[in-house]
Amino acid sequence: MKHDDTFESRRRALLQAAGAAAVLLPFSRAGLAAEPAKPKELIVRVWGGEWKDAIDGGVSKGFTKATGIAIKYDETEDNELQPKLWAAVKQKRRPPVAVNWDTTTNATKSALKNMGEDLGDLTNLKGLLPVAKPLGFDGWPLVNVYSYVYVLAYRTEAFPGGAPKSWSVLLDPKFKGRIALYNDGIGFHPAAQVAGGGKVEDIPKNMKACWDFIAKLKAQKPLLGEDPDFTNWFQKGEIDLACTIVTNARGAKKNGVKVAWTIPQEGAKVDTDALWIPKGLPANEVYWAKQYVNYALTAEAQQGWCDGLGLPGVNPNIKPPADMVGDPAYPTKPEDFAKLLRVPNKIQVENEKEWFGKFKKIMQS
Amino acid sequence: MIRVLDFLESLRATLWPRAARRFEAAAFLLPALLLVGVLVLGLAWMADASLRLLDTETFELSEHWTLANYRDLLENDTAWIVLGRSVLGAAVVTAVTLALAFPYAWVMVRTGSAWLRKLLLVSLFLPFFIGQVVRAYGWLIVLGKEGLVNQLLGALGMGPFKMIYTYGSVLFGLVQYMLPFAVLLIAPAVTAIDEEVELASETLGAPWWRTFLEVTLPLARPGLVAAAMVVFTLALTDYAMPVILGGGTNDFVANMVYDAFFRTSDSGMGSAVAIALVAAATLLAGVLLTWLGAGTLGFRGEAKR
Amino acid sequence: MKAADAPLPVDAAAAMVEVRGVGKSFGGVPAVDQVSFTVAKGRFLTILGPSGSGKTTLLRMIAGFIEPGEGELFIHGRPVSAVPPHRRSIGMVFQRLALFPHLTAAQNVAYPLRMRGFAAGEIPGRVEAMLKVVQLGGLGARRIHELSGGQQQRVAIARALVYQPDLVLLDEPLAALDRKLREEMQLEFRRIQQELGVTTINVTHDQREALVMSDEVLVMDRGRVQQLASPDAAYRAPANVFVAGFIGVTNFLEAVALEGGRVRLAGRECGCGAGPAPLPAAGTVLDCALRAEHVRIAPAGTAADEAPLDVQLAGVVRQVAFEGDRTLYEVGVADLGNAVLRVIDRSPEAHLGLRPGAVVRIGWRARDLIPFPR
Repeated sequence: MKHDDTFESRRRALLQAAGAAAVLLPFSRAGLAAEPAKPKELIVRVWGGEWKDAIDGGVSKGFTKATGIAIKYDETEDNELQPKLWAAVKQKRRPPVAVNWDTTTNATKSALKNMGEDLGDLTNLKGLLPVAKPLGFDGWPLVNVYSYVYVLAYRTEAFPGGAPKSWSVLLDPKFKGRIALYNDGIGFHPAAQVAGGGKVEDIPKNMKACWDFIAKLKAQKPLLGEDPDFTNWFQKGEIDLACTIVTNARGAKKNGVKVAWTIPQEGAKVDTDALWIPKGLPANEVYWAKQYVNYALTAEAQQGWCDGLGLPGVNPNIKPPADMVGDPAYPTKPEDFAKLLRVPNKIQVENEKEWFGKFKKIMQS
Repeated sequence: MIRVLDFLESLRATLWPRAARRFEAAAFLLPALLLVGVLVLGLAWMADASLRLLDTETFELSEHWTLANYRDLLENDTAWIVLGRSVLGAAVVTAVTLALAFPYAWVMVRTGSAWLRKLLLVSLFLPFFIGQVVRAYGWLIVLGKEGLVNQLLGALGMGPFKMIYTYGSVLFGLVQYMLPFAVLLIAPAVTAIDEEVELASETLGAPWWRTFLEVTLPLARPGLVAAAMVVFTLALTDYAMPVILGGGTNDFVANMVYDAFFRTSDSGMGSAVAIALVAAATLLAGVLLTWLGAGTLGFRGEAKR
Repeated sequence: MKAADAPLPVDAAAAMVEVRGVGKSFGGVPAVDQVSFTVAKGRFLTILGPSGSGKTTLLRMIAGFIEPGEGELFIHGRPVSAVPPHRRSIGMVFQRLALFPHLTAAQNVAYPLRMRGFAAGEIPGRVEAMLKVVQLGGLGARRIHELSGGQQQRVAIARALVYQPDLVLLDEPLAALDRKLREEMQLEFRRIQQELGVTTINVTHDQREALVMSDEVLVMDRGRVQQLASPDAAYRAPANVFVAGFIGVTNFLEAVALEGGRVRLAGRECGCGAGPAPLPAAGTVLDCALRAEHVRIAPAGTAADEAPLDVQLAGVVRQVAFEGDRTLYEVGVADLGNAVLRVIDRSPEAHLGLRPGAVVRIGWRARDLIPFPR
């Protein structure tokens, strides 16, 4: 493709010329002559609420202070932005965002379609936790930025005797109509597989245990929603139990809702989110978008960002927030990860459609 | 002066000859035709995509055409359940909405009190300005476990009752959402009924309820049919109410379309569901129109008396 | 059957309709004020008045759409103020006809029979017979919009009469028709009404219609009855200045009463006819009505008219309106203080030469000048 060739060669030439500047990060405000022109602003896709506040305070403010480049946010839902990004890259239009903060599963889909710039030359990749490297790729079409755990969150008033021990508590008739899951079942499959008597290694080949457990759960009339719903439901007293990302439970707790979370004996699914840069940006924006990602991986940026989320970043030099010290939902060491359940993103991506169909079939009948 | 006008007139005649005038009417239609054209293009694109299968290794649609998406859809129990729920829901919503909207429209048109008419109009339009999503969230606040209604019932020593995140709450939300549309479509039909006709029926010996059944209702049929069509198709294809008031387990067809496009990134299956929905809606609207007669929409131009 | 549905005892001797001291105000303004009259069985009464005279309000009170503010209405001797329209034995023909557009002509006529519980087997025969009476035999299957304006009138009349109501109300149903059809339908309705002998109350602002159709005319103005009389009497002997002015084309001349049944008009003494009241004392100011068709007109200098004219004056033609069967002149008369008199002449061929500006001779007989005390 001719366009790509010229584009690519121009980019490389610029990058080489800018090499010196890149190494010098974080940045000298003097602005070396070799530095590509700074765009006025970069657009970053984010999730709203807690999530946006966290990246803004932790990453963007510092980046803007260092470079003078303003950061704007696009809060389009990740699933909805994805086809727009793909269409833009395919039609060689300028993509709507410069940096996409995405689930690793969705970022993997885009990487499989070769949608992203390679991030292998970022200087801050060295020394990150192994979980930062995407599995199944030679290069770095994306970089994982932190881990998160799908915990069992519960209203403390409903559990005066302490945290529930097992995911099976979701089947207790006492909580009929008062439990909640993600509306695509995401994050629950491995836990259901183990709670139903199966093994996480059997995913995706034999998931009978998982589906049987979810079928039993259907009789409990669960509510199905997305991130903001869980905080909302806990606040409004609609639910007692939910399988949700720890950030949402922590958010509700910060808002004064009497909520706690636990990792039941079966374990809980751990997953990651990622940053990636779509192809098709002008060369100077690619350069500065990479600087943004690179800065997001520094200990300084990760500290602020991950404190806001209550999640363990991929930079090992950050300190956990005070309320998360020793929390099993804040894994940093290999032995922490061993207690959690992990499904490679490539397997998730390849089976997503089938799993989704099965989950819907159970929940919509 | 006259000569200037003559010149302008001859210029106009050259630039825009008389023969071209019969196209003037067509020219006014052009924007609408363009819009419909874009819709048709979109449908054609979706029809094409619906014939391509997603490869989950590369997340690309297949190069060749296949009916696999449609076959999967036909064999997919979930799809049938969701379709059944949508059609049944739309039918119930249509019936209830019309039953509520007709008396509302009738009183609004016929009342002698300007004050009451204004009140009815304002309460009709106010929710219009609020928008569907905000209204749906409003119902969550009113009908939730710790919502207004349950608090009142609690004060009376009852409940709390589960009133949201059920099929019933989705239908309730839809009826409330559709009511203004239905009233606005029915009101002109009621206005078109000469009040003297209703008075005549009374002098001829009919009590009010027979006048209503034998005269008002049949004469308002164009408005009722139009309202039924609009409410039915809007309800059948609704997205927001099932999402917000359904608690995730009461999906309608539009939610399936969204899920396929945006959750599983399968624009092929998403298109197939969308095309199937368009087909189902068109078929049902067609059946409705045939059953009630196309002329009931008032297109036949019947004389007023 | 509920008690209210049971037939009430009928007072055969009573008038079919009696209106006793009925009044109605809207927003404090009286629309109908202390109206009383009766209509005997089989009679045709027309309520005649300008718009705003209260005639329509009065009719709607009789129909039952409006409740009287005071007074009482009786139909067949039975007070009906509290009886809803559908229980009054009334047939009504509406201004806009109010036919049912979704039904055929026959179904329209059958409607009151169905509503009033006639046996199903009996209905088609009655409908067909009624359609024959209004000369629509064979057109029963037509939809309303497939009928001409005149045919629609006939359907409306048939629908109002088919169940033999005690009383038929006409709310200016003929007003919208063109003149020729209207005059035809006036005679047609009168024929049907007399054929069936049904008591009828008609409302109109059209004096000609009132005179043509009615047994009696009730003239109303500003909510009050001005005169109730036969058409002939209302025309010949108007009860007051309003009636004299409303019916016919009338000139009003100011005069002063003299002794001996004579008056002084523009300085000259002349005779006059009989008014509704005896002449007041000499010296009292009067209004004298003089109908346009009672004024004779002839070109100046022609031979005197055969009819003996009591008053003759010179005048100048101001306007000429030729209406075919008659000609309307406006004539300025210097001797009457330059008053303009309207004159109707029914033999226009004799005066074809008259143009505005022509000098003419006008005159009238003393008995045609009707005095009304102020």
